[in-house]
Amino acid sequence: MKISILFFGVAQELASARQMVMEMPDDTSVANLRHELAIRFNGLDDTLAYAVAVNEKISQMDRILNEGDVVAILPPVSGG
Amino acid sequence: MQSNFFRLKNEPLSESEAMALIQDDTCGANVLFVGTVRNNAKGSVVSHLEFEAYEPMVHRELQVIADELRTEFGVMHVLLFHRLGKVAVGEAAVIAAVSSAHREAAFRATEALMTGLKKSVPIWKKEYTADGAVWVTPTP
Repeated sequence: MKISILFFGVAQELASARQMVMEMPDDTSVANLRHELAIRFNGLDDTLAYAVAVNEKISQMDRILNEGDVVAILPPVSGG
Repeated sequence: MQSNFFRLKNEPLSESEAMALIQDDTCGANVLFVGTVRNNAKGSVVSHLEFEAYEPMVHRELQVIADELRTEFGVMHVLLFHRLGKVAVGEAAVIAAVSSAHREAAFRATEALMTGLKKSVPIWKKEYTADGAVWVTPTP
């Protein structure tokens, strides 16, 4: 299945992209996706302490992703 | 009627516009906080900042914070303007403003609004210095 990924802040630099479409197996969880991102992109791992939003809602590790989901990679925020 | 005013803008922010929006005849206290871009960070000279946001979630998170402010402090209007894109030294990057009947609630709610902004609202800052550009990692 295809999922869209949006990268914000430093995650954008680590992935060298603002967004991309990734092909993932069915029943992929947020935890599985994080694992895959850590393999593909140096530094895009748990040391960054990033949050994940699925379809604009913060999601937990066990959330199962579906075809067409939009997943946002949200590093610790620094507005203001 | 309590209102929220949340805006992300690529153009300069207006303090007078913010003040006009939060003013209410039932309120005697209007607090505006203006955060401007400093020319230094951790010993380096800053030339400018750049902000980006996950806009749909910004509005949702600010709504959550505004609801909490009303529950905790009973304030009237809540306003948050934030710049996006390039922002020069001395320019306002953020305006947070709250109106309420009396000053204590307005001061405390404005402080809490800024704390909430820095904790949970998906906006990121990149600092440009002579040493290069770096995404800012918040200090705990």
